[in-house]
This record gives sequence, C-alpha cells and structure tokens, in this order.
Amino acid sequence: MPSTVKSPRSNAAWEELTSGIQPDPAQLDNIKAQLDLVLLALEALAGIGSEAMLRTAAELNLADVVADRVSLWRLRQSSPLRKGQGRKRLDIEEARSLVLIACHLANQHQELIRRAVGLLEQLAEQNREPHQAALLGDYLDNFSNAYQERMEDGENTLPDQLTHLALKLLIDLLFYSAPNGSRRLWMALLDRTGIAPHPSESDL
Amino acid sequence: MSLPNSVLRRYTPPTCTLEIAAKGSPLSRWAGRPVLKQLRFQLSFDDPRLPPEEQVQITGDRTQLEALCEAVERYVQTVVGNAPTPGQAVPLLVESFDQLESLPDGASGRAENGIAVTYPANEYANENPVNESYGDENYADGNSTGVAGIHLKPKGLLSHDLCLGELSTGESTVVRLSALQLFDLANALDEYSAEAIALPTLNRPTWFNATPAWAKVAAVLVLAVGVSTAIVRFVDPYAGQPAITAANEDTSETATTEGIFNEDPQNTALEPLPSGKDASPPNSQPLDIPLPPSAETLPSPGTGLPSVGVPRTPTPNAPVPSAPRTPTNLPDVAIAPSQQRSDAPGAGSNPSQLQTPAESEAAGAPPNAARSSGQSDTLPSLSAPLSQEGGDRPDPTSTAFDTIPQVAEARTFFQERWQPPESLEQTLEYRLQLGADGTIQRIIPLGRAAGDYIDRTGMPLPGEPFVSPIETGGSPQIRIVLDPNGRVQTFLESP
Repeated sequence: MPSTVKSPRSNAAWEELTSGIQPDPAQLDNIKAQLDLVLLALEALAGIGSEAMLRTAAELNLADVVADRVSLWRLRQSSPLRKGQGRKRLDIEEARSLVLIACHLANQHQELIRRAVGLLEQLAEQNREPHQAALLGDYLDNFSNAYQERMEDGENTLPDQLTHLALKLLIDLLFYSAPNGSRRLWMALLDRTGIAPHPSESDL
Repeated sequence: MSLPNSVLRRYTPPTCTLEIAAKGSPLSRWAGRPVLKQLRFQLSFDDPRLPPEEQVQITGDRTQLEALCEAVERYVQTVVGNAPTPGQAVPLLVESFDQLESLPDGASGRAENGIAVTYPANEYANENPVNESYGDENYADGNSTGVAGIHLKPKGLLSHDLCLGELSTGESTVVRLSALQLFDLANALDEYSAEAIALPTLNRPTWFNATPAWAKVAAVLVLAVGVSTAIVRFVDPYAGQPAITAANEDTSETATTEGIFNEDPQNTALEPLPSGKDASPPNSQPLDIPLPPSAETLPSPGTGLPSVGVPRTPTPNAPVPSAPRTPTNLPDVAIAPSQQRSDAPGAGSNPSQLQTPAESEAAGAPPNAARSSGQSDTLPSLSAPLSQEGGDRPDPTSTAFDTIPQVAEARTFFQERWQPPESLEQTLEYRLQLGADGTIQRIIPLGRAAGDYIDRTGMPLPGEPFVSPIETGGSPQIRIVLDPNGRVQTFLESP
C-alpha cells in the first residue's frame, strides 16, 4: 500500500496549490457542504467519529485549526446543508485542513473502502441491491440516518436519492484514499465551484 | 510486441501490472553504467473474471505512456469533480440500466423539489443532463480524444471505458474498467509519474538523442564530464542534484544507478514527464451551479468573532473535551481534586447525579419559575456533599432573585429545539459563556458525550442570537443540561 507520508516537496506543492485562491462566499459554502458530506460518508462507513478526526488533525499538525470537538463541530456546522441557522464562514485554511483530514482518514481506511466498492461492483453486475451486502447495507443505513438527522432537507430527501448520494460518495472516497487523494479532493472542490486552479499546480 | 529485457520498474496494484522497461545500449560499455534506450511499457489488466487468453495487455513507448498518464489522471479528476447530489441519477453500470431501475440508486432518483446537496439538482439536471453527460465522450476530458487517441468514457458510476487509441492491439480497442481497476491504474500511473519526476534523465537536451552518431559522441562527453563531475562531487555535495546543468544531471544519473533513459530517436521532442500531473483541470467547463437560496442568504454572524468562541488550548478553566477521560458512565460523581468540579472530564456525562434539581432550578430559574423546583427526582442526597465542593457552583444560599432572565430564555430556547436522539443514553451538559449582547461567546461541552452529540442539540453557534442582552453587562456563565428523556435544565454558574 502506498505510503501516506507526504514529502516536504509535495507539502510545498500543496501550499502552492492552495495559496492565491480566494473563493467567494458562495463558493466557500459549496466547498464546505461537499466536505461535510465526505466526512459524513467516512463516518457512516468506517464509524469514524470526532475523536478520530481530532486525532488526525493533531497528527497532521492541524490542531491549531481543529483544536477540539467544538471547533470541529463549528467547521462542519458551517455547511449550508446543516440544520440550524447562522453559519460560521469557513476560511480557505480551514477547508484545506478538512481536506487533509478527510483524505488521511480515507487512506487509513482504504482497505475497507476498497472492499465496499468491490462488493458494490459485484452486486451491480449481478443486478442485486447494494443493501444485500452487510457492509454496504450498514453503510447506507448509517449514512441515510445521519443525513436525515442533521441536514435541513434530510426529511424531504427520498431514500433512493440518499442511497445514490451515499454510493457516489463511497466511490469518490476510494479515489481520495490514494496518496494523491488530497490533491484530487481539493481540485474537485475547486472544479465543482468553478474556481480556476492555481497555475503552479503542475508542480505537484 | 515483445518487451525489451531489462525491466526498470514494476508497479503492481491489485488489478493491474505496469512494467517499465528499456533496452540496454552498447553505450553502456563506454559509459561504464547502464545506458538505456527505447523505453517501453507494458500494462496488464489482471482481471480474475476473464480467462487468460482474454486478459488485456498493452504496450507502448514513453510518449504513449505519458499520454495514458495524462488521460487517466484527467479523467479521474473529472469523475471526482462531478459533485454528488441526492438528485443525481447516474446508474451504476450502463449495461444494467434497466435493471437498475429497481435498485435504490436507480435512475428513478431524480430530484424534483430541488433538494440538492449543494445546489438544486433539477437545475443541475437541466443544464447538464446527467445521463447525457455520462454518456458523452466529451465528458471525459474535454476533448473527444487525448494525445495518441487515448481517452476514457464513463459507463455509469462503476465502469469506465478506456479507449486505447494508438495503443490498441489487434483484438481490443476498448478496455472496460471497473471503479477499482480505474483506481489501481491511476495509482500505478501516478507512482510512475512521481518516480519519473525524480529521475533527472528526462530533461536531457534533445541534441542528445538526435542520431546514434551524436549519441556516441555525447556518450564520450558524458563519460568525460561524468568523470570530472564525479570529482566535483567530492567537493560539492550538491552536484548530484538534478536541475543544475545537463552535465550534472548525467552525473546524478550515475548516482541513482537507474541508468539513462535514452529516448527512441524519433521521439525528439522531449518534455518533462509529469504530464499526468500538470494536466490542466479536466473539467474545462466548470459547472456553474448556483447555491440554494438558503446558502446565499445565510447570515454569518460568526465572521466577526473569529476565535472567541472556541477554546483552542487547554487551560485550567477551559476543559478540553478530548482530554483523558474517565468512563462515561460514572458510578460516582467524579471530582477532580484540584479543579473546578465541573471541569473533570467525564464528570458532565452524567450530570443528573451532579446537581440537585432544587438547587439548579433555584439558581437557574427566574423568580416566577422557581416553583418548578418541585421536580426533584434525582439523587437529592447528593446535594449536601456537592454543595460543599464550592467551585463554580452558585452559592447555595443565593435566592432565585439572584439569577438573570437569560437563564430562563436559554431554557426556553433549548426546550424548543432539544429532541434527544434515540441512541442517546446519557445526559448532555454544556457550559455556555454569554456575551453582553446575549450571544454565546464560548461553548464548553462537559464530558465526551456532550462533545459527540453537540450537533444534535440545536446549539447556536458562537455569535448567533441566543438570549436577550445582559442588562447588567458582564459575561455570565450558564449551564445547560439536556436529558435523554427530553428535559432541559439551565442554571447560572457565575453572573
């Protein structure tokens, strides 16, 4: 399995990638919603709680951004999809930290993600429902419950839609679990929000 | 096509094998180290579902390998760049589209009410119909074909067609990849790219490869320069690093003992390898998707309060929930000897044992609510020892008139919002520090469960409107106790 250790070089490249990006508030809203969903999928699949996220933040030297449960909760609560009024504005550094944390966790749980995607492939080929595999069934249930509990539109989202969302997130997680996963996720976030990537990305 | 015999690198993720090889050159003898030319690669897709004779194997030169790297990386980025939405209805596999109607994630899941994740799904569908975009070749990389005709096309969420272009073999022009296969292929190519970056041979001047005669002359030069720079290396420890001069690069090749990648003469236009990496963003037409109105019109009261609300570092007065904790179901009241009582991690996880209702109600309720203290059903016997602990408890002798109306307002606030999750078995307890304007300045969850469940409590964010402004000024501290049975208690800790 590829190492997760980032070389100083790639760290520097990552800095360059994130520097100079100034998303507008709407774009940041979009980014934080997407990030919250990625973390939600990780939670649902691997049972990752705030404890593990905080530990990862500490390992990645991000404790100054994500210091404790309250700050983590505030970051995630900043998703516009969440219940509750009023949002903290997620800044670019916080978004970057969440990207690193999510991808580090995805890498740690790559085997599990891989198994889940493999099962999904098998079942899809056999035209069977994803729920028929315990791992996938649990994941889908956990995800749907958490989504309905926490998101503003949770109660109104059809189960089919939630299932599809969960499966798409699962497949995305696989790609984020690669050694260059954080770059992929970051680029995807920028892509989805129409932010031009930084020109120096070629350095990565 | 047979591979040259000396394999330099082999990348073996679970579902494919990528081998990089090159031929040894007669120059090796002259140079005193392996000089390699005609870099070739061989990529085998190891699909256990297929019989050996149907296993796909492709080979090509370095230009084609770079084209493959670029095509795959760009495609993967496009795949993940497609924002997930609940309304998105891409089938898992295109072949089984009809059957998938019956799957929960089938094509029936189209959002009709715009309850999209990040943006209204129906608008997304209108502007860029999902199924259409997934079946569209242009979806893959912005061009119908990449360099050397290599490109990928989506076939649902779980399968992808790799169109081989120049790499086509007699029988196969398209390779169907599962998500895992695509993932593994991308990883193998990425590893190769990363290593190729590290190899300094790839930036060599084009003259070096012009003709074999040139190459021989160059080899002599390399030998001469190599010897001299080898001497230099004793003096200058940095001489072996790439990107200094062509001559020094050659020296560093010696150091890496990886041999020289002597490019096939016809491939004279050499470029740095990391083509897969410096691909321009795959989605050349980023989806311009509006946010839901709620997101756009959200007030952001927190912006002006960057750090007030969050205790960043542990201090004696700011317990950090992630501190070493005692078991959450404490049989006894956990009291840290040298701390404020409520600061003991875990102590707050069972707060019903910590406080006497009479006391908390009396302290927390406004005058007209003090009568509700009759609901003293929790361990009244603990009140005596607890009240002796002092700490930040309100003075037991204080009367209900000492409290402030914000305590009752806070209770009303949470009574309207607190819906205990079914999985919750413990009481949640929070200490809130209020600002003079009635907003929360700081939230301190007491105990692990309080931290874990904070997003279910309806807790306002720091800076959000919460209770009425504190007329007397100051920043009172109140305790919120949320029971799994739905009961809400609040009381003043310090005025």
